[in-house]
Amino acid sequence: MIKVAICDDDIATTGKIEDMLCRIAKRNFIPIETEVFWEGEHLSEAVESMNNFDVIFLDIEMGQADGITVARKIRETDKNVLIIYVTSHESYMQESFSVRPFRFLVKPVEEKQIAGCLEAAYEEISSADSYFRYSYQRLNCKIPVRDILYFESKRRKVYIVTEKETFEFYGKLNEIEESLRASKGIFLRIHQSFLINYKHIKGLAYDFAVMDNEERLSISEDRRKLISKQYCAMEDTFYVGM
Amino acid sequence: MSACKWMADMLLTMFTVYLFFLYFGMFFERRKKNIRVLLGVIVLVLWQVGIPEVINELPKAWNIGTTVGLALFVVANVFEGKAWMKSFFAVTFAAIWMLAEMLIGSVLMIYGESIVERQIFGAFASRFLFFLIILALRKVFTNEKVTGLPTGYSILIIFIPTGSIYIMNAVFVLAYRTDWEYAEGYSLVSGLILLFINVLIFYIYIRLADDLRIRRMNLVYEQQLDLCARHQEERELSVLQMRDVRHGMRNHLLSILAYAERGEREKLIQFVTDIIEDGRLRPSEEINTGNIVTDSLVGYWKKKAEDAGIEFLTDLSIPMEMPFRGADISLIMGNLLENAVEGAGRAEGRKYIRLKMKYDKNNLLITIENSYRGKLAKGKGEELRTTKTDTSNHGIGLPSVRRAADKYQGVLSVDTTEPGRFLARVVLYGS
Repeated sequence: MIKVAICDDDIATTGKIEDMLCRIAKRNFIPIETEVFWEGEHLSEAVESMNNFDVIFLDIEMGQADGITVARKIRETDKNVLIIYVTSHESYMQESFSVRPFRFLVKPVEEKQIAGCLEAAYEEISSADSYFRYSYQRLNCKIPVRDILYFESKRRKVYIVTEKETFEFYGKLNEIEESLRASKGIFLRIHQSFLINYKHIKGLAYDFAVMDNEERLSISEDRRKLISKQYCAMEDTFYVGM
Repeated sequence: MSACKWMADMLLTMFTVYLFFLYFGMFFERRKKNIRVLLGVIVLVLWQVGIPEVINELPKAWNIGTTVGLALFVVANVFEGKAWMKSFFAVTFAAIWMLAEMLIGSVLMIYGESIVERQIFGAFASRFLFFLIILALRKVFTNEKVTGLPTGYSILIIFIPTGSIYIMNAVFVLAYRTDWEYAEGYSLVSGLILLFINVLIFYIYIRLADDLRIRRMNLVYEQQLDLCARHQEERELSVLQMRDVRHGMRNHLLSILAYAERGEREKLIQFVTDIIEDGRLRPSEEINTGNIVTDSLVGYWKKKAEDAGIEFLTDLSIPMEMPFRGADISLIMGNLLENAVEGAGRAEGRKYIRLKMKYDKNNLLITIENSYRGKLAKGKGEELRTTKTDTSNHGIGLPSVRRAADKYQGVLSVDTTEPGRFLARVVLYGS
């Protein structure tokens, strides 16, 4: 089930987007649940009170709290939600990029655009919806891949770092990298002993990555070129907005 | 005395190893594997320590042969790079060093009769001269701007110092052999003049490279100005259109009012959709991200592509302002789009260009994909050579893109694994 939030201070627009979403979902057999907000504050409050959405359609030009501020607030609590900006301008402000938006839609929104967006979002969400399985002290454990920030290997142990806690087990980073490649989750091997989740990279420079928990991991010199290539290829999921 | 000599030998060896790394460090990257590096250094040290004993026993030709061979062996072990480049630089290494030694030797023979410890002094002096030469070369080769000179120029210019080393040698040898009393003074003056000429040549070389770079930058700026002017015209046109629309708005509103008053809902809806569909109220077809450089450039090439019957797909998610210089963006995009339009124009079957720009985490990602037909010429390394016949004006494309990307620690990667599809990707890091 995909939970979608639509936030716009124009009631007619929210209705239109909701209608289109339901139609597209029905046509493509995507199970979805929509919720509409007419004020940015309500949306950010809903996100804060553990109402975790998967996708948010967010109007940038709203009366009281503008979309960018709302998006920033949402990002404080939810790092995973896909934010799709809906805007009437074709030119985007630099600030709007700081929350890692999934897409931009330009009003008036057409069904084709929304369909493309929803399908891409659905693919993105379902690919992150798997588990990483491992055993430690004869216990079989699993962690949702989307929660993992990175793997770190130290001596013979591998540490799995999530935002809240760290798990450990005996293993090899090479094997983990191989197994994760099969399960579609996107992980980057930035260092001999670091394997990081691309979805949780907050900032990326040529020589280091900042993770969502503000930790700064350096990219080893011989991998920089490769990481740059992978980075570019990863962001290249094409979508024609015409 | 022997301890003193041993110390001097040690110092000499260390200095030589340092010179060796200094010289080859200009052209190659050092290897990561430590064992091979260690092996190389050990061989180098042994060779240096053993040189005085071996040198006297071997004939001259053998001597040169072993020097080159050993240098090559050490370079192969310590540095990464192509084999032929290594052999070339190993030979030049040996040549320059020998000339330096001969030169110092000749000078000593002529003027240094009184110096007792001639051999050690000579060894030091020749290495010091070699050190100076390497420093001068480093100035030229590690200067990023300078490498931009075409290789033809560089080879021609390298001929001047090489040639003058030979001449200098000849001058001293002749001065040594002759009985003429002023020979010493003349030879010294001509040596100094040659030295001065060489210094001048390096200076000229750098100025030449600088000039070339400025000329290229000017070309880019000119192009950018052109594009901006064109974009401005289009903008003005659309402002005029907007005025039209605003004028028409009143009439439209009156019609809408009339429909509303009469309660004709269907007609009202039809009318409003008609106006929207009319095109003037829809987001315009022209590229409009608010980023003037990108807009004008992409707009220009889009029009060019479409005129040539090429499908042009864009997906631009970039802000109005980015932490990259307009000239660099313009250089990168301009070159890549020009290549793409040219490539797609010659493609058989579907002609298309797909451009994606995304601003993500303060970095700019550019992807350009196009169809093409025919062969790509692979040059040295992974550089693609131009297939155009007019090579002096073309073929600066991808290298200059790479250089512009380098400024932002960026990377240009070209993917041609799928036949008929050319894919270029650029990452620019903004933080």
